[in-house]
Amino acid sequence: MSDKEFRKILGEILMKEYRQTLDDADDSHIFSESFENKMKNLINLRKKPYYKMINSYGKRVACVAVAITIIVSTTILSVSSLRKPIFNFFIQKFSNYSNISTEPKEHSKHPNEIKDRYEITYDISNYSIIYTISNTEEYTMHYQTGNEYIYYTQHIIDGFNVNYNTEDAIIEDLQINGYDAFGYLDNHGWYTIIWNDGEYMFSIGSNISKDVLIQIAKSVKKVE
Amino acid sequence: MKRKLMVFISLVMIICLCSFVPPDNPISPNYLYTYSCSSSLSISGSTATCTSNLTGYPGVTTKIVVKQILQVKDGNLWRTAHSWTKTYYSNSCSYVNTRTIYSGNTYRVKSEYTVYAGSNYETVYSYSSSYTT
Repeated sequence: MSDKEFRKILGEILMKEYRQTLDDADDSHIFSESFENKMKNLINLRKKPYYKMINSYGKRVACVAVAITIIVSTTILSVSSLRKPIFNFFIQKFSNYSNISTEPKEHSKHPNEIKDRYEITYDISNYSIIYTISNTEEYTMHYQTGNEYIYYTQHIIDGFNVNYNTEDAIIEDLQINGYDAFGYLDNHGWYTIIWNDGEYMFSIGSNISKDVLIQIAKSVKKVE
Repeated sequence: MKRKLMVFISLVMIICLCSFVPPDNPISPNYLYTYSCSSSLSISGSTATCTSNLTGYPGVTTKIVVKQILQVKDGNLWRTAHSWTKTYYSNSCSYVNTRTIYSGNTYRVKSEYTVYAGSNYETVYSYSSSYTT
């Protein structure tokens, strides 16, 4: 028998045995439902266009981390009590005070020192001045008559960073001479109004009535 | 199992790192005797002018002890470059100091106020914006 004939006969015998083995194989095994579902999900997942981005444990962890970072960042920037931009400045409200600040800008358009002084023009001639601060960044006057006080401040916009007692206070939106402002009544019965006119920050606080204080705020004008 | 544990620990660490931002303006516990307070820093050449202002309530606030700290950024931490302290027997104060500073650094002013109403007192803090020279 030649080598070629031997190979042919051997092939026929082996193929016969191989087919017999396949026929004998029991293909009636039933996989569990959960296994079938897992396989189905796995097959479906492979068809997704983003499969290559999540096909390993490390990639999935990275995706979750990125999602969490985005959610945390978005929350911090969107929740008003955490950091809320108000008319060119920020108010951060804490449980018992609020921080009002502006971002320092190296090439800001705002005056970097007080060039024009603004004062109250409402008639407060019955008040006396009890305290003053006057420097390049701030002009503050405290007035008193009897038990009534008025605290007035003009401040440059850049670098303004002041904490105010706002515990239990409800902050209201106001308008002072066409400029957005906000005001609040604190837990000592003092009403405070804060605004800016695009050049300077102003704040005025007092234990007199809110309506009169708004009139006084509206009377703040450039005097020199 | 080990791999899953490592992944879980890594995830927790990432979340912690994302959540933790060193507070620029830590919460002051009380504002009972304080109407407002602020710190400011202005820099002219190599001179820093530090200002700490506190306004209290008339008839309530009786004394203010101010500790003014010029801080310089050292990595992620702020360390004291110089500090000053002064006591005011009034309901408002404005404390101003100057100090020579060095270029290439980031500075800010931290003010620690102990505000008295008779024998009671509270401690409040304010921070200026930071400036890089």
